[in-house]
Amino acid sequence: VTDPRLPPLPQDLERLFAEANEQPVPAELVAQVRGRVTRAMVLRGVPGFDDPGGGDGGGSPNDGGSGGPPGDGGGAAGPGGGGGAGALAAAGGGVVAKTAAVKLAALAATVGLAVGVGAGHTWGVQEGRRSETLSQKDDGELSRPAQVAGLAADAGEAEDGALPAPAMPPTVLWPAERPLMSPLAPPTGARAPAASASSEAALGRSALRRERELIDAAASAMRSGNAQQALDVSEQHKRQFPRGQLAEEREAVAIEALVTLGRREAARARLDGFRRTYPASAVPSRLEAQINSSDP
Amino acid sequence: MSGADFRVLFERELPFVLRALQRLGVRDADLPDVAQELFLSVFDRLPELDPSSTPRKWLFAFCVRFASNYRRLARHRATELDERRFANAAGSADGETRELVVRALEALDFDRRVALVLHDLEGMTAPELAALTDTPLNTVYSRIRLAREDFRAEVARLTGLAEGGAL
Repeated sequence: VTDPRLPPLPQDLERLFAEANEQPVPAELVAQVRGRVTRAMVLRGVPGFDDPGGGDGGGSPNDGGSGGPPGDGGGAAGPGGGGGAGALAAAGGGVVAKTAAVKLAALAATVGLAVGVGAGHTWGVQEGRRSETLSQKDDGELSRPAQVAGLAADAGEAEDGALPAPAMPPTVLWPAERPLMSPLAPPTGARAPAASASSEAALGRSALRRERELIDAAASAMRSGNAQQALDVSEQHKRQFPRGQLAEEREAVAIEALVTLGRREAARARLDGFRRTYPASAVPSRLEAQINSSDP
Repeated sequence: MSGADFRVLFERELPFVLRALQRLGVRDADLPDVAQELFLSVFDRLPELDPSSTPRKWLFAFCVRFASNYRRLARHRATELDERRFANAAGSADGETRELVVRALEALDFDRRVALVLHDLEGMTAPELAALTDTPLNTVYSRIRLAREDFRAEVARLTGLAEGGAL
């Protein structure tokens, strides 16, 4: 391309550029990036990347499927996006889903959120045990301190194009051995006396039920590997219940989703807000570990 | 554009996007992160794809934006470059010329770097570059000229290092 308004490219530079353009980006680097980006696309549910087994030559099925290292290191697997995603989907449906209901029940009990959530709510395999747990607590404990102020401001997501992070090993979304939320002492001073009799309590229960449905939906999306959907639902919760009783759970889900989506900076910013709002929570250390383990 | 079309675009253009990102200053270790965000962003903005242009030129706009954001993060600037040596300005094997070019580009001001990479290396025209960077055409010409001077001086410095062994 010659441009009359420019001096011609000097010959030495022209040769240098031509040769540089003949030397391709190393194939292993391309393969590594392709695998990573493909997995992120699958997680995000991008159309065209929803065929886990297919794709460009198919990666190893073990690539990223088993809680090992994120799989990028195994560059030898070649262009390995699709296969890993298949394994992820399978894993998401297995162990992780089975334990999540238990953990949420334990969480609800420990945090003292267990109001009126049992009725008419489907929890899957652990429904029975959970209802039992919850019933002991079903005494109108509605007024968890609304301490979420500031989270919304702190939770600003990374601007478009901000830097991003490696995908997480896909199966650690909800580690089985750890409770989802911290075993916070219930805010005993805040128990509402005889709340179940008052209309205020009824309203509160109804709101809490709606909150619970949203949080469940977000958690469910995470379990099925759809972090973007989890994030979207958590945003919906934030809009509707910025200081809701389940705001802490929401933030945890949202942060995990951001990590999974590779939006490390956003996850970190949001985690900082979480810490300020819930200084007693043990959750940040787990989330922090996830964010850090996603560091290059 | 369907999801399948997008995947085809992704597969085909990925090496070019990576090359452009490298030349615009994204280090290899960070390429997966940046490329991931980039393509997710591309997907979100597919409706804006101008059918009268080529996808690659459109993608270069993303590359410039993401590389620019990348550079704004101080932690990336803090990384020390190893003063590796280059035997020759050209004629070497195993991607050494490619690395030399990337390395020499490090010495350029970012706007000039963008101009040189997209115009001289990737073959965009100056008017296209002006539109992409939202910069007056005269400024683009000026940047290209200055970038070539800076680049040539840096190549001489880097290869001179190799020949003389002394800085």
